Parts: sequence; C-alpha cells; structure tokens
Amino acid sequence: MKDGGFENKKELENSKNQSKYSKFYIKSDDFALAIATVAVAQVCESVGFQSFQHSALEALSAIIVWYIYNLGKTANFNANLAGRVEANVFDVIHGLEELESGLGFAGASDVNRCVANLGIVRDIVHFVSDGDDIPFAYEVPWFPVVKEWKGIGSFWEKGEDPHGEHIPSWLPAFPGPETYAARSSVGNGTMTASNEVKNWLVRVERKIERPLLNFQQQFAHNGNEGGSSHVGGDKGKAKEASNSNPYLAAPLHFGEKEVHVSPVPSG
Amino acid sequence: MNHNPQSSDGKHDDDSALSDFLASLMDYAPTIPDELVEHYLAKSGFQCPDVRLIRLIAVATQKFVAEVASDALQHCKARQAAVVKDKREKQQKDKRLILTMDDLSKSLREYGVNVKHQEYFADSPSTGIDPASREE
Repeated sequence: MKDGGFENKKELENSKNQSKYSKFYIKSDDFALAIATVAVAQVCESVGFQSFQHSALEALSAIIVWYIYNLGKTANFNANLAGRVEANVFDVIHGLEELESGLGFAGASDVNRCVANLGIVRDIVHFVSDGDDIPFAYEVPWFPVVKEWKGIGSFWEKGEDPHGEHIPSWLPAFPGPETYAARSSVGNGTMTASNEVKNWLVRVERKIERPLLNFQQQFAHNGNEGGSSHVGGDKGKAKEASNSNPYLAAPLHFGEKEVHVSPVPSG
Repeated sequence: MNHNPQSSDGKHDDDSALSDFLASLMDYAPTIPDELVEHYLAKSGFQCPDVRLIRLIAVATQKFVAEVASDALQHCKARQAAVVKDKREKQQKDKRLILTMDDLSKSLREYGVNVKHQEYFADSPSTGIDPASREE
C-alpha cells in the first residue's frame, strides 16, 4: 500500500543522500567497484560466510576502496613530508599505522626496534604465512584504458603555410576547404516558375548545412573520438556518427521533407 | 657503548627480514588484484614503481577485510546461539551464515567506521522480521 507520493519522495531523497555520501559511487568507477565486490565476496567466503546481503557486500566493498585510497593518500603525504615524490615501504607502514591507530601501536614505543618488527608488519607476515592464497576469480585487464587523442595538427606538423605572418605555425591548422566550400547540387526533375524560389532557398540552406556538417564530422573524428584502432573512410565514420548522434546525420535530399518557405521581402 | 654493535646487527637482521618478506610477497597471490589497487592508488596520488609495495597494500587490505569479516562472523554465530531453540526446522534454517548489515556495522564500529543501515523500508510485508529468517 503506497501512501501517496510522499513516502516515495522520502525514499528518493534518502537514496540520493546515500549516493552523495560516498564519493566513490560515480558511474565511471562501476567497473573497479564491481571487481572490489567480487574480491570482498571471495574473502568473506574464505572466512566462512555462505551468503551475503547485497547492501552489506556493497558497503564493505566501498569501505575497502576507501581503505586503499586513504592508504595511498597517507603514504604519499608521508613521502612528500620527507621531501620525496615516490613513496617507499616505510611510508606505507606508517600509513598502515595511522589507519589502525584505533587499535593501538604494538611495539611502536620502542625506539631501538626496527619498523619491520612492529605489530602491524608482524601481523601481515603471520597472515601471509598462515593462510593459503586465494587468487582473484577473474582475469582483470589493465584499466582504465587511455584513448589516444589525435589533434587536428599544427601548421608546422602538416607542412602548411599559415596564411599571413600574424599566424604562428604552432597553432592548429585551418579546416580543409571542403568545410567551407559548397558542393555542386544535383538537380532533380523539372522546375516550374513557382518552384524556382523554393529550390533556390533549399540550395542556400544546403550550402550552409553541408559544410557545417562536414566540419562537425571532421572535428568529431579528429578531436573527440581519437580511437587509434578505428580504421575507415570518412563515409564510414559519417555513418557511424549519424547512428550515434542525430545532429551529425547526413542532410536530407530535396523533396524528402517539406520545408516551410518564408516569403522573400520585396525590394 | 656496548649497545651499538648489537643494535646495528639487530637492525640489519630486521632490514633483511623486511626485504625477504617483500620478496616473498611476489610468490603470494592476494585476492585483491594488483590492477584494482594500482587504480585507486593512482587516484590518490601515490607514486611508486615497485610492485612489491602494491602487493603489500593488497595484502594489508585483504587482512583488513578478513578481520572485519571474521568479527562479523562471530557476531552472527553469537546471535544464532542466542536464539531460543523452539523448533528443529528453525535450527536447520539458522545454520546458514549470512553477512548482514547489522553484524557488519557492529564489527566495523571497532575499527572506527560507522556504517548505519536504514531502519526499515516499509515496502514489503516482511519488514521488521528478524534478518536471519529473511534471506536475500
């Protein structure tokens, strides 16, 4: 039984608050979070659990993600404090101490003792030596995949002469002439006197639209979608672009769609 | 001072023990994959080309999860033992060990992590029933 829309609104707000609370609940991190969930489930299964509540599993995987992140941040901070850019094992051990500071520091008060003999390191050594190693269930690829971004290229790279001394050669080159020169239009059928104006207006529209479309396609190919593995001509890319983006679709031919003709002012 | 040679020998042993341990980590396969650990360490700004440190962090994280899970397991078993054994069916049903938010929040509280589960979602008839009898 639903109590109108108020209860749903409250639940919606609660779910929004929950998602805002953890900064790792970002869509782009779903893959890593899923891997963490599987790893946590494997560890819990090895400990003795037979089943999990989804919410508990998600909470624990978010916590270990936070643990790794915080440990890295602390180790990096310790390294920077010592005037180093790269962290070493002692920075990591101090970071581990900080994270487990609530449980106390075993052996940390002894000045003459080496850091390797601290309680934390000893516990890790015992953990590794006692239990059998359980490898991760799946083969994890290297992520995130970094796409190669191909720029348009500067004047100097393209070997073109910049038009004028005021344009330095290291600036990106101008787009090709096909992006601003109109293509020859193909005439279809007989043209009557009343259709002449219509055709002229349509040709003007196409003149503006097609170069703009060409430029958009070229920019989309070079600037945004710099996938190095993608091989194909402009037509193939235009088709692919039109499938994904309706604004990059090929222009309509004359007569395909009725266009409203506005009256031309006299004079 | 007589302490110096002894302490320097001791330190040398400790250093070698640490380096031996780090070398042995390369033979150990932690459950948490290196790629995941490297991804989040890169996000935090951690820089180190040494793979052994990545393994150390992975093992430390796995140890943390194992400790939390074992504490939650103790809570779960204690809760099941405290249940009044009225019927044999109920006993058989309770034998399944389920990781619940209640046990998890209790075990995480000792580590300084406060995880609060929402009291109830009033959207199903089984709301408010003991979590052991309702499996997900």
